[in-house]
Amino acid sequence: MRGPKLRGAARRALHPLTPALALLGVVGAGAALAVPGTAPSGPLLAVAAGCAAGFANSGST
Amino acid sequence: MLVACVAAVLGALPQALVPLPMRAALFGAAALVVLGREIGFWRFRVPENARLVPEEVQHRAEWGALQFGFEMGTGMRTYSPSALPHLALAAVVLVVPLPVAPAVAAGFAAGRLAMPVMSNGWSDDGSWTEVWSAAERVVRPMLAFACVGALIAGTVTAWH
Repeated sequence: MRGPKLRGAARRALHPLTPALALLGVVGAGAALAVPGTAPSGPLLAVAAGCAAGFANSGST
Repeated sequence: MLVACVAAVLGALPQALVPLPMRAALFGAAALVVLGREIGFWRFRVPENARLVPEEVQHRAEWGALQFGFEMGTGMRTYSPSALPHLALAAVVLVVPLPVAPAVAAGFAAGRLAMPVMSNGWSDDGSWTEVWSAAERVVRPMLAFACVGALIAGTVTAWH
């Protein structure tokens, strides 16, 4: 099959902005949890940082 | 994962010898430079091999796919359109505790995988490239803020 595979909301959800926004949300939540004396969010932030770097580095393919 | 583990082992020495405030300051300076590059304030080349792994490699005997992934994943033969992987590597050497380094690598692998998966899910006609090109100017700074924010927040957490 050639051409679009998905339509509507599913297709919009695949936009590059989606993972970028999700990562910003995760980092925001992780940073909020990073207040000293609260839950350790180091691994969560590490995964988010790596994920952002990997996504940015993969270009268009 | 291999690169992160090697970097984490190499980073154990400076992390043991240099006080965290000094390492954090060095990393912060690098983060600002990279953030400016990703936003578009300035331009500079980052270390990259600027070659693609030939497609034939993955068809070589039973280890072809492994070799292809190794060469691309370690940056031996690939392009680097972003400086964020270099910043993540610097973070692993300077500020990320050794046990957390594999988490950075796992995240990188997931992010690297996400793009081809999304491209595949979008269409078979290559139109994802146009979608990415249109969004790139907004998405790249967002990814840079996410990466730098996560690394700085993680460093601050380790500080306390």
